[in-house]
Amino acid sequence: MNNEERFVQIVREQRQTIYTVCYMFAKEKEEVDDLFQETLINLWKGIDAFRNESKVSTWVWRVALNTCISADRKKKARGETVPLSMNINLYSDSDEKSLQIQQLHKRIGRLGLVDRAIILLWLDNLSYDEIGAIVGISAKNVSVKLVRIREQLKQMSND
Amino acid sequence: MEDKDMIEMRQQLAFLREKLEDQQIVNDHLMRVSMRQRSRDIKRSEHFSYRMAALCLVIYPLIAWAGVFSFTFCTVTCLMMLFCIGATIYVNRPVNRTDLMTADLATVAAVMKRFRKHSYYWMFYVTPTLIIPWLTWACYEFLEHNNPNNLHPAYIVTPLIMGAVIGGFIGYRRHRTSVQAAEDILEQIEK
Repeated sequence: MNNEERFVQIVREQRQTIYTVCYMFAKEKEEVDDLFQETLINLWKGIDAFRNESKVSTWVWRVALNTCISADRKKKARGETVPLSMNINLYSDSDEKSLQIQQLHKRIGRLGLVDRAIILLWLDNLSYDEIGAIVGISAKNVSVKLVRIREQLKQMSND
Repeated sequence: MEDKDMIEMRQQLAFLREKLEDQQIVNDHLMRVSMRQRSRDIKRSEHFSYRMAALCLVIYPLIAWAGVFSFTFCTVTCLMMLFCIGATIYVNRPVNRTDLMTADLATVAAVMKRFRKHSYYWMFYVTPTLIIPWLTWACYEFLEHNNPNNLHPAYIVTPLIMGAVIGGFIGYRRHRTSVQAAEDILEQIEK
């Protein structure tokens, strides 16, 4: 299988993960699309270096999170502001499930970038070791951070 | 034990993934609709072949009866037409049997590749093998039965050759259309 075929397969299989990350780090549909494309570019750039030493899903999570976090940082560095809008197709529906998704977006959106990444990985049932490998911290540190994030989220829901 | 909020958030993330899954299905559906539209070109060519073959099966007995060609020639031509109908059914059957809206894409790709390969063999090997001897025989028969004034053979044969060229051109156009449709579907799947 050449790189191109491998890339297409990875994107097809991990599309939901990529989109979920982009969605959680974006504030509007155009931003999701931009992040999604940027993540795909970074995956393509990195596919040569990816040697299956870690799981494909771990690698995709790492690239997607790094892309979204750094994109956000660049924006902050440029001093740009993005209007907080819910003008995203995924969220424009008003059925029960869409409202639930909107709530999740709102909750996660209040967290810091790294915390957002950690909680997303944890919600997706990744182990502490895997989360640590993706974010670049120890498993112990992940558990400490998670306790703090969960407390923070609880406090937010009480407010 | 996980608290209620966390369980709720996990559920919400599952809803999001579900939504994204649906999104993918919508895209897949659009691709399949487009594939089905392209496959109509294959069906049109198939039906065109049947109509032409059926026409020949009706006309050639009449031609034999009118004495334009010999009975043997007309019989062989009709048998050739039946063989062509059989071959067309054989080549097109997997395409017709495959439901492009529900079959997995690997199966659709395999069916289209098979169709493309068989169409290619049919066009570039079987057709010349059948047409060249048939046309030569047709020219000979036409000269035998329709040249009482001993005209130059070219006057007699030229219209027949021209008819064959026009027919061949139409047939080739049909072949290209259906093969192109199969190639478009394959390209769409690969993309």
